[in-house]
Amino acid sequence: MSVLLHDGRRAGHLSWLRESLAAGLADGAVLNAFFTPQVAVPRNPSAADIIAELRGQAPAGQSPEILFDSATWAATLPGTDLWATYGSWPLWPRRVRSDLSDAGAVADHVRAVFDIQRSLGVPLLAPTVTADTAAGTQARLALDIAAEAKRQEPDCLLTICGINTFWRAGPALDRYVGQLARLRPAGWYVIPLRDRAGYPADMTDSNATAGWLRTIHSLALRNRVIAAHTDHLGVAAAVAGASTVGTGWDQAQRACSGDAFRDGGGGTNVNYSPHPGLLARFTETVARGLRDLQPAFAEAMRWGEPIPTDMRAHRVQHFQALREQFDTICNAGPTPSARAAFLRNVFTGADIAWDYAIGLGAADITAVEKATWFDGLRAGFELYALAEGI
Amino acid sequence: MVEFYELVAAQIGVTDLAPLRPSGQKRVFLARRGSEQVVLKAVEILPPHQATVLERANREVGLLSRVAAKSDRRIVAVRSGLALVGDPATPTAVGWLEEYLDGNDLTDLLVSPWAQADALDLLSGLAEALKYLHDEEVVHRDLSPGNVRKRGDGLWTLLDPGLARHLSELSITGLYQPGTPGFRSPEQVPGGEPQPYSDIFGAGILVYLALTGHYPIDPRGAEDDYAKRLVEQQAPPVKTFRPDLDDDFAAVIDRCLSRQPARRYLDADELLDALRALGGSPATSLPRGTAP
Repeated sequence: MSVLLHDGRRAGHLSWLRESLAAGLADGAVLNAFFTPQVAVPRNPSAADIIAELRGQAPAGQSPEILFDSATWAATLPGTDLWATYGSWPLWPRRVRSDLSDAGAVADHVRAVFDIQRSLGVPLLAPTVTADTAAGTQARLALDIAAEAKRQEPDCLLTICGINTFWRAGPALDRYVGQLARLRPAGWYVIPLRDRAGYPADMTDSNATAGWLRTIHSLALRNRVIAAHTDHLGVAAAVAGASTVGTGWDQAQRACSGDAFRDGGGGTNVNYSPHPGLLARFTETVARGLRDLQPAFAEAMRWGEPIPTDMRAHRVQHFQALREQFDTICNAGPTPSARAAFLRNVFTGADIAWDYAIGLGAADITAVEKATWFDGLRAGFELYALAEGI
Repeated sequence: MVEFYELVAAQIGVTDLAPLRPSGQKRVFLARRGSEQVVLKAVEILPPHQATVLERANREVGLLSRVAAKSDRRIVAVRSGLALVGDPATPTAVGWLEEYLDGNDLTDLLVSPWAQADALDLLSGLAEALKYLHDEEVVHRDLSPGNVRKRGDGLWTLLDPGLARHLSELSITGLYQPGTPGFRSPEQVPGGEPQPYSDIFGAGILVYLALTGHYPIDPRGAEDDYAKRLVEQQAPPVKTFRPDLDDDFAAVIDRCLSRQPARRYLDADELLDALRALGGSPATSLPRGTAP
């Protein structure tokens, strides 16, 4: 059970990473080729420097887990144009960015990714492309890349990245996941790429949520699953068997979309006050509004924490709440059914609390917010759980 | 009028043809070549599928020759090359010889629910045989009772990998190969792509049927409905029908029949590991039970 912090486009976040790891709020980091450069630039240290620093500050024998995500899944998206940092990495030996046009090009790119990861001394995490369906050309290409990665490095981690139409593909998704499973990697790095930027992630497609959870469930029966860019949805991912969840301080780290890789995109960054009792994060204004109406209830929903008053407190509270929520589910039992029973209790409590909060009449705590933070997650989870018989 | 299989028999040099159970598009005969009893398989090649039938026959004989030789009698052996009737470029029939197996087809043994030990013996035997195919990256794709035989000495042997496909070879186009109704995997619906774990599902069906008398996924009714059930329904746990089974053995069977392929044993090697973990060493050293 661990929490990894994704990096993001905001410069100067090494100190935040360092602080979070030192405080035990996170267990490691995922560096992304779009956001962490190969060579240091002002306010943006190099990947090698970040890794050295994070490892250097760790107590003896407790080296943080650090991954380098080549983010080929983002580089090959239409509309991606945030190349300044990405371009510093020698990811395309043929010097044609996103060239995966034949087996040789795929092999060259995979080799380049692994070479970089070896040079950084991090685990080998295979590249992939974003799948839009479970039986289309992108999915086939992703399978070919995975097979090539496994051929080159049998102990690598494989990446799966898909948008909602991929995760909602039902039996076709299951067949596809079966083919991936045959490759028997050391573990899985699973990215639910959101169709829209923003936080919380859009959860209106229950079938997509169910497919994402079902896939984690299938893969976790064999290997470790890292639920990347998952944030507070980690409570459901933990039921399905994910042992690691990815998050961060900015919206694009917590819920990833193609927008994060476009100039001017990435969503707005807001300081949220965690309300784990409602499975939600509120802006400071909304949090204060709820507190003013019913202080004791609001404090209970914040699990006793004060409303954070600065960015640092916001980060600390968020990671604390996330870790506690995630660990609580994981500790409910080793099986999905045990964890699901526990999460259902959490849902029941949150449902009642939401209705009470809405009844208080606070601004921006309405059925709309409940649907955004709670109902979508619960509906997707229940669809998954129903199919699993748990 | 001379039948096509008689022409094949003459071409290949066998006599005394006695019909056996047909297998797919093939006519199958017990035959004699000198003093040896053999099985003749003959296929008439009709338009428009000449190329497909010829390729399939070539593939079946090629596969059998390659795999059977090292399978320790778990895959039926080939006793001849491919014999073509007519112009070799556009033959009208094709045939080959296989070893004659004594014993019984699994079909004949599925008369009443089996004891657990016998079912374990069957599953172990199937896994041992499939291992030789899967090690070669070959998928059998038609594990039906008519393609499984228990030899007189109790050894389970696989027949007729006529639908088998080497995973690195392109699939034949123009002729859909769904396998036998009742014995298909979820990957054997249109759009699916059978893999070694599809054979694991097939092995699970056979053992489930032997133990319970029920198909795990009901094949009755329209093809489309059956296909839908295959991809959407999870088979009832085998203990639904056989609560007397050991939990661990039942769990192995249920896992073979997982709707999601990633949750099954991915190939025969994994299944064999699971069977070993049950406490016995599969197949080769298991006491062979006597099927009912």
